[in-house]
Amino acid sequence: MSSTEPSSPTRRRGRAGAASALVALALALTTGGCAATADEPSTAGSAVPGAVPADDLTRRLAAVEAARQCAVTTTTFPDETALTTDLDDRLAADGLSHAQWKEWHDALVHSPDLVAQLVEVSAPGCAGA
Amino acid sequence: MAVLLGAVLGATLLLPAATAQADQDKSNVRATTTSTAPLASGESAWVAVSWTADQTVHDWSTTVTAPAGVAVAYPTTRGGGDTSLYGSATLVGATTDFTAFRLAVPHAQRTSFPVTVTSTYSRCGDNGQCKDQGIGNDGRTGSVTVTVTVPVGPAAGPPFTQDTTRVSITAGSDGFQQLSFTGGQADLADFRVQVGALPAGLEVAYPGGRTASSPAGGSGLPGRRTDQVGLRLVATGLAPGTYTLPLSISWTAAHPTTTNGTVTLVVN
Repeated sequence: MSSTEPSSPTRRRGRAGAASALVALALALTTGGCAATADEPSTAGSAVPGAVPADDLTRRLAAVEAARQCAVTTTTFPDETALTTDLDDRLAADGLSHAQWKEWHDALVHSPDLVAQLVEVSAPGCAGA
Repeated sequence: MAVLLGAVLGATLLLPAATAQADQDKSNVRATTTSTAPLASGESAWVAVSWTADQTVHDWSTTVTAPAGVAVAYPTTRGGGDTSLYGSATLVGATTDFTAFRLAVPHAQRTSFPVTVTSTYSRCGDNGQCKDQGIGNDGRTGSVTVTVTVPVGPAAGPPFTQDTTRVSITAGSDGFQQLSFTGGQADLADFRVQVGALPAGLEVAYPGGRTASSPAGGSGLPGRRTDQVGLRLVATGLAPGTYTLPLSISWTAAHPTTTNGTVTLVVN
């Protein structure tokens, strides 16, 4: 609701609306006009436009990604394509495709639920780490 | 109302301090690994360093500085001047992602060595996103530099594997046959194959009229990669049967080396 609606019926409500608008302006200036400030963790909030909800499929993708992230720093790859081959092999072992992973990976940046799910899946850490 | 306005003006007066606070880099970008996967002397391979952050950062770029003699290479997909994260240039807050780069360790490098890894990033995406987050021009980018150890050990396993051990040709034929070899853990330079004593009625020639054959992809046999050497077998005077051809295989790793091999030739 906008507090400066021209249809406000009374002068009192109009003053209150003007005051609220000033407060909103001041808050907007101090926070940069963004609902999420730079100080907030990026995983905060869930009502993000375009956000992808977490489900069983995204959990499986998160599990593959978590396992890969654990293995990648202890593995050498003979050539550039071997990095993708390793990912694709892991995905295929769980009946998943690279396209599904890419879509999920691209959605992470605007999907707090996916990030929270990935964090949860990764929480046990890497075996032997 | 006056009190309210005073509070509003007071808050507004605090604006410069608030903006300055927003400009502080609180992304807490950091590496989560202190060493890469181990490499062997003479090995060239892609290794990875993992990163995490408290807040999402964009436009990720990583460069690596290695000691003299150790070559660094980056993905061709980015032009070869730097590397980024796998799959995108964005590190999403609270997640982990890695940067990969190729290191070529010389055979003379027998001990672990450090590499300096510097990553730069944008704390906000485009101008609008930066403005929305109250981040001015001075605070839009950040960087972090870490030192990562690259463990080095001796190469394990055989220096190469001869994949082709049997070749079949037709009696009276004259043509090239390919012998396949796969490199071991380390790169082999100046890899050459030469056929030894020949049975009567067989002649052998090498590509380019040389005295030995080198891999098709170059003079060396890279570690863990497969390549072929071509041999022209002129069997115009060779009777049908099975013959064992001796091979002299030479290469240079830490020093020049030659070993013997064989290939079975079946003439039909």
